[in-house]
Amino acid sequence: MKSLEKARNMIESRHQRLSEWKEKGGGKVVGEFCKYVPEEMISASGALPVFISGEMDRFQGVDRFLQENTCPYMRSCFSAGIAGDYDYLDALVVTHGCDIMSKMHDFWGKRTKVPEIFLLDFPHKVNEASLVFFREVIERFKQFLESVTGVEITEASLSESIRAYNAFRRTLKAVYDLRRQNPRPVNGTETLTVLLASMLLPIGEADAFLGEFLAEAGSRTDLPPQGVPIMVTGTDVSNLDLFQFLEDSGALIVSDDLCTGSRYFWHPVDENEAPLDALARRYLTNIPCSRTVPSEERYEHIIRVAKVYQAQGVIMPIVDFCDNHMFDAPYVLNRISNSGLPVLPIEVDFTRGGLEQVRPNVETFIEIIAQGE
Amino acid sequence: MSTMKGSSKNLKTAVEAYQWVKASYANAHRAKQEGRPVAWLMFGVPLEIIYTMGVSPLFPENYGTLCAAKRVGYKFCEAAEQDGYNKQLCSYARTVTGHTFHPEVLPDPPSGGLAKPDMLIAPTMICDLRQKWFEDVARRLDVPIFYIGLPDNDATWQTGLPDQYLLDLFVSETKDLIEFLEKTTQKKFNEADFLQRLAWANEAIDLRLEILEARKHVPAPMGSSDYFASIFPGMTMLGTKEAVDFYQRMLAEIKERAENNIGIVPEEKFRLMWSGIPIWFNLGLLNYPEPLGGVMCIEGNYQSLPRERSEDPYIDLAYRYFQKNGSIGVDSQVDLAKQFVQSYQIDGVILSYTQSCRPFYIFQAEVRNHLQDELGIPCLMLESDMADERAYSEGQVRTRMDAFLEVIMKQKGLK
Amino acid sequence: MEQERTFRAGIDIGTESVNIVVMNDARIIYSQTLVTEQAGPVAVKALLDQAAAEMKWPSGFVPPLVSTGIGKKTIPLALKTSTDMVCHAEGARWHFPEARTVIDIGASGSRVLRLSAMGRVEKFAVNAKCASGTGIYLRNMTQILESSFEEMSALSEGVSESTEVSNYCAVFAESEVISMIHSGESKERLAAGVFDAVVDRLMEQINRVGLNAPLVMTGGVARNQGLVRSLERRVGLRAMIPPEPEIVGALGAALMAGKEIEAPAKRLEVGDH
Repeated sequence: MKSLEKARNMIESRHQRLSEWKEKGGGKVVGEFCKYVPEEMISASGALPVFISGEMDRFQGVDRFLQENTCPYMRSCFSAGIAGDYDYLDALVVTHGCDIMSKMHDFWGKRTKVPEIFLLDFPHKVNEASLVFFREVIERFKQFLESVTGVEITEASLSESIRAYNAFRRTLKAVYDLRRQNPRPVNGTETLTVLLASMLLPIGEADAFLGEFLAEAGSRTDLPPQGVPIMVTGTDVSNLDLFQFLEDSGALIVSDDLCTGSRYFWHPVDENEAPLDALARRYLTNIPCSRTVPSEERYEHIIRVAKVYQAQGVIMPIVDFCDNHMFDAPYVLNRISNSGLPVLPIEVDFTRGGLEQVRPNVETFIEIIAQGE
Repeated sequence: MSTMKGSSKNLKTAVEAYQWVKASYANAHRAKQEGRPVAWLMFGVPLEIIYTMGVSPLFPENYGTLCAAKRVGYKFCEAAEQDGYNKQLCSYARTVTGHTFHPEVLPDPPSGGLAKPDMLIAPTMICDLRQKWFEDVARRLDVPIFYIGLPDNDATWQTGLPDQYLLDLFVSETKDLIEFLEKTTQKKFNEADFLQRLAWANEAIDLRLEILEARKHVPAPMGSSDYFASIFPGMTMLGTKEAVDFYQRMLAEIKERAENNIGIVPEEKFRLMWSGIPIWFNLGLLNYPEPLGGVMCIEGNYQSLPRERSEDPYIDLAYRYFQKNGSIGVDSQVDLAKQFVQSYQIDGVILSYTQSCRPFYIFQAEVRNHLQDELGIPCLMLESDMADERAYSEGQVRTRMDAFLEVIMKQKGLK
Repeated sequence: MEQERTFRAGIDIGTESVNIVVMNDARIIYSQTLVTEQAGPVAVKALLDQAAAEMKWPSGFVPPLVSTGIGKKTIPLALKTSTDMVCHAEGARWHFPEARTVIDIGASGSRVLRLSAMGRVEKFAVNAKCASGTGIYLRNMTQILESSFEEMSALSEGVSESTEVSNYCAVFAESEVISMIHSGESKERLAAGVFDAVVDRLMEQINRVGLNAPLVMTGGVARNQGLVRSLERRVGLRAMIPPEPEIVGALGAALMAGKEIEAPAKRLEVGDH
């Protein structure tokens, strides 16, 4: 598939692409780790939001600041930061996605060259008061973006941005729906590849690019191996090595509850409400991730997404030291089992060697499901 | 043979504090028997409100430290792990979870154990795990829970007063907490009683500030062993007259020692700071340098600091919450460490890197880096856990302590 | 050779050894273990050659073969691969047709398998990443206690109250046991304590999977009476041990080979793209 090839190249050369985009058009680039950041606002200021992600086995230079028994995902991102990979960023926005991520505000501020960092104070608890609070937070975020880009964010530009992102969400949903077909014309790694590549593009182009993939999938003849349909839930690490590993072990990933996946497109932003209000509401009340309370909707979503995409099993990768996912793992595992789905937790230390260690677990899980009863 | 042991104290009031610890667990058992409500709380809940509502408070985090000090905590941790709770999780949470759902592990637990809660109150600050933990307990025990949804205070130094939107959230959540308590206790909130308790709490905090100041004296009149032994009233009894009386007595004792130059050791030769959480199952470490003339004379992370005041009681509470040292951001902790090292004339810092407590270990490497690079202060990173003694190698710790103390003494020309 | 059609074989390529089991109809007619750190195609060839010589197979003949274990994909001769755990379940059931739980403790880890009434693996739990609770931990302890496996087992017999070995990390546990030896703790109680510690670590997996009788133990460590006793005491069930617990995986693979030639199902080939 041409779009898939293109996507792989884009990801491979992403830093170069983004630096070139900046030079050519003079646009600004704003990095983020977490999908609680209202990207619509970044786009409305003319800047490009960039999702910073880690790479397996890459931790060079980090030990002096973040010791080994700290989230390997954030360590990996930080390794890229101190190596200068993200020096082209004009700004970074950090949320309290988790205890470690929030500290990146200080770490990246002191130890990387990123010039401006904003701490987006995202509430843990969802209620009326926190909505009022968060509305104020994004007002301040708006001012921050305006000062970084020198561009005024108007109601009109925000509304336009919201419409563009909603369109992208619809296309992404259609891409996910490909895996409700039998046989599945695309698998999880391919979908994630194209999704990650699209996140390197301004939103209009991103939508078009996803559309290309969608169209090619419609006429695809060289289908991927039809592994056992599996849903992925757990630490929100959208990592191609992880997905590839799972699919190499006999799974076909049909859905997920990741923040870059189903929770990205499941609820749109209300286009009828005043834009800043709509953004505050949608982002705060979106299907929660594991650090937000109350949690019931998150648990329901996991089961729902598994069933809607007809998964026959659930795999739960949990990154080392991830308190948020580890703590309710016993409960979530039971809940998934009780819904009639086999579920397998796997530990992820964000190294390829670590994946090899759990390969027997994944292969066994797949073989058991494939055997049937 | 193990040389792990409890700490020795210098202050009579430090020794006295243990009575309050025991009393709080006994009070909760009595409350249960008498049908009064028991709440499980965490540090960060406005205690004046709890006491006003007649709720008997328990602090499971503290129970984790108590079980560790009694050398039984790890058994509960094991029970929790066998239920599927990962051993990387907070050892306080593992201890209490193991104790609550597997009491058969230790039929005679310290202080008669934790009385079962009628409600849980979890502030969403300091760490994510707190809310997950209490959420899990509430679900398993089927009791109501209230989350106080406050900002995390991750940001670096807040200068001046907190902005209005921060205050608004704080006040709103506090009022919601009162409503929750009125519902669960079926009692009306007594504003007058609350105001009296707020006054007591502020008095106790002010006394603790004076104590902090008095500890700058050379030789140090009070050690870290005294501090951690007496931390309980400051963290759990604010809003009671007893806490005020206690800190008055403590301040008087410290002042008298300072006036008479009574220190921790006969001849004080070097001064150390303890950063991070103490190793509760081996508090004796806090006295380890004493035979060499060294004193552990200040702790880097638990102190009250000067705060803004307000006539409005809720805003006053808010200012206390948003005070500068409330931030657990890395930059804040680095700055605080530097400040303390300088104002307490510290020769070396021991950084407790407690593996299962992320917010309290995440800054230690940078604290070490800045103290060493900028101030030339020798630092020792001690890796352990705060309550799970299985994650601790005593031999290794002693070897590293010995080497560290050598360095200090050489630097001070004592060797 | 009229028996040609009924031979089937299973090869288990592990981290420290390669095992082969050859069956003829319903009987195990040959088994062999090659202890090697180079557990790959060369070792497999050596085993097959040896088997061929002993059973006087015609030159070039290889019976229908299923491979399992960590190196299962290195055997192009195999009809298919099957995972270790599924093969262990098959092998355990062959010895004990009613088995519902299988506990396998090997060099690199321990697994607890729950079997359905039909004998399929329903659920499994593997030990967490650290070394504790495995053959390596036990091997370290044999060095510290200066006793072989068998001696440790004998030492622990008759101990009513073991000494608690609380450290779960293999490295820390070593220093803990060493210091207890120096302070005069009896070797007998320590040996029993080590076995109890291994079982303690297993409980997490057992709880996750649930324990149904009958219980079967497989893997080399199952020969250790002391450990078996400790487990039986803790879970209140008798553990049944096959006569050759180390080759249960290869046996299961041979059984799978049998099923494959009887009814070559269009099953998903695990990991095969």
